[in-house]
Amino acid sequence: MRARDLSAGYGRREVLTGVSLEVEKGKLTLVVGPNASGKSTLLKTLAGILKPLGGVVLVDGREVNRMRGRERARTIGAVTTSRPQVSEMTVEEVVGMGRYPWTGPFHLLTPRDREAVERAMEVTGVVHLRRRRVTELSDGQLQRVLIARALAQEPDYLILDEPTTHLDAPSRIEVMTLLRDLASEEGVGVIASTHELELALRFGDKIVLVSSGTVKVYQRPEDAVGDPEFAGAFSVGRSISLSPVSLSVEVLQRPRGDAPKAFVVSGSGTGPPVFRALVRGGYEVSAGVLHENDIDYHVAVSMGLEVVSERPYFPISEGALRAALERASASDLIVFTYPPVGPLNSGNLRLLEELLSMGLEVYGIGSSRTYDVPGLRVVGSVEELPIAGERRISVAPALPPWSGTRYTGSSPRSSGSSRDRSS
Amino acid sequence: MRRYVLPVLPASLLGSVLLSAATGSVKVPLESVIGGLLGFRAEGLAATVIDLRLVRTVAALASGASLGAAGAILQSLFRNPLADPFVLGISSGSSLAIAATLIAGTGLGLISSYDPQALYVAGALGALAVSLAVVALSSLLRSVLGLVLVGVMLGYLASALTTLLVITSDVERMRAFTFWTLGTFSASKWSVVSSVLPIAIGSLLVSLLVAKPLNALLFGEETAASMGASVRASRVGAVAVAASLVSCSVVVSGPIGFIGLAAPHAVRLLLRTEDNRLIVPLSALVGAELAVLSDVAARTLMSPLELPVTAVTSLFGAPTVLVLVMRRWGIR
Repeated sequence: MRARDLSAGYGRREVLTGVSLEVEKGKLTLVVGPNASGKSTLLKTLAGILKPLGGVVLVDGREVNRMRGRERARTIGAVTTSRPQVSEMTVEEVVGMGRYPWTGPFHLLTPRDREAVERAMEVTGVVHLRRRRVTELSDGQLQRVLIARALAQEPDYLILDEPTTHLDAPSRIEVMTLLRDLASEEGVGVIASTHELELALRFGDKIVLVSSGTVKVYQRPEDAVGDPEFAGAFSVGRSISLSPVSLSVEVLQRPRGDAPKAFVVSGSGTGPPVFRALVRGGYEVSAGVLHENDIDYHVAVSMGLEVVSERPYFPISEGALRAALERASASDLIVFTYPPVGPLNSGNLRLLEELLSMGLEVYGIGSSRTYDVPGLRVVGSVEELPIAGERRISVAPALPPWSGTRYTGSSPRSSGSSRDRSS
Repeated sequence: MRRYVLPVLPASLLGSVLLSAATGSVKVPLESVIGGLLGFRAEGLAATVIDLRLVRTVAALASGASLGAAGAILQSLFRNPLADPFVLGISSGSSLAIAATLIAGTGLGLISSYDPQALYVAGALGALAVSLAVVALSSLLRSVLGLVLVGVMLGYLASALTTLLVITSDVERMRAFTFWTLGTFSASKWSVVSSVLPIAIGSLLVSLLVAKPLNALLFGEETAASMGASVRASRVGAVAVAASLVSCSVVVSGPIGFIGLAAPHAVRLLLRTEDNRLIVPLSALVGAELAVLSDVAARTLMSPLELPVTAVTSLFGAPTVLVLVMRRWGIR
């Protein structure tokens, strides 16, 4: 399926212009973009529900808009956002309605039709629900049933508008997994819109960004992440970042002039929970010395932290150590997370010694530490850090960053040192 | 779906037909009734009585079936459980068109007094006009009660105009027109019934064809379009069939309320289904039965006085509407 120089909209109002994209069989194409950017308009036009205002949508060289209803329905199936008023219908009846373009005037199902219905229910995993009424289904089950209905049309392409909206977290992942399987295992060309960026990046073979009146197509999610325009379409100012390595979304640290500073010595994944907790606690956090291939480095950079770094697989250099020492000694709080230490990062232990010899206090968070560093004040968790003033911070690695408590108290001390951002 | 209900419906319809032919102020033995219905000629008075009752029974069957099917179509089309030819003013519009045609037609000598086909065409056009007005207004009014209110008001308007027409006409015609304002089976004549019956049967058969697209429309317009239904054609077709059915009913019996409302609900309740392929034809069946039973009640409740049928149908229809409204707003 190919859209060429498409203009889409309602009546005379153009919502999108200059749209060219391809939906490939066997691939899951996910459409993302801010609300009201025209995702639905695009999908409805591709599905032939809306007439294009300009340009064409072609399937196997034929114009979708000129196809007869039945013929089009046998080629393209659609799941829209409208809630069907079929509460008393059973799942089997609903899926059976998908045979609409194949049946006669009385919609009597032939054995061939029943087979297709059965297959659609199997693929979507709703066979066991066949006798249930629509009212008795959960939102996630209903969505799968509606997808099964569209599949019963036996289309080559499946178009879904916001199939994960209103679903709980497990159902969202379930539906996305289903869509990916439909593409990769059943060979259907699937295109769906979603407002969930991370799910889109994780599940999509191809990403389409709908923003400011047009679309941008990325052949791989990684390409989308690497494009500043892509992240820009989703963040107010610069509030989030996208990690090109993990394809994850991070909340960027928002520097405030009067924020107290914290320096974290970490590595090998011991740092991120502490970074997040300290950022939530209102700190301006920096970290070091981290190797550029360390997971802590990627997370710190994604979060917009200042990082003193070292090249991969090189021992920590004197230069890096000096930079870290300077930054750490100017901080209000120094934290060590007991990362594994080997020849390449043993410089960090020297850093601690230097800091201690300067009479600075260094906290160690190490309830499960495997070695000791003399002179550290060991606490069990981030919550136990004795922080200036009445500041309490909490760490909850299992929760997403936006659900945590935010520090709202006034900061005890202000420091106006320069902030050079390493990311 | 409860399949075991399916054979019960035609059986009870047959029973009510027998009841209708057997009850009245003159006693006729049941075996004569059955004999008469099967075509054996009964003797003397019995034959006349059976014939009289048979006309109104057939009229009730045709009218009730038309109303039931039309109600089912309208409820599905408007997605409104309160939709009904009478409630939406379609019956009254049809009635007005018929009265106007009668007065103008007979006055100008264009048609003989009871030309059923001409009246059917006029009634269908009147029904169509009101239906289209309701459709146009319904796109402005999204609420369930708003649509009903519009329909009821259009109905009142049409009834008022019909009354005006009737009152301004001469006294002899007035009596005949009362028929089209009240709704009754008592004035049924074979000449009218037999010429409208084929149209009613034809319309009922066509109504079976709109069930499939109506089912698709339950999923919403866009989904229906994606399933290959032509949304506009389906809508126009459904409205046209409903208008034709309503007209058949009005020509035979005048505007009769609530049968078109109650029959589809009874079917849904009995069968627990949403499938219009079943609801539309079975609503015709149940509508026919309701009409026949209402007619029996109309002539026996206050015997020998005869009640207007709408008075009887309102007795069960109006509470049905109240219950539906209360359920919708969660009042119990």
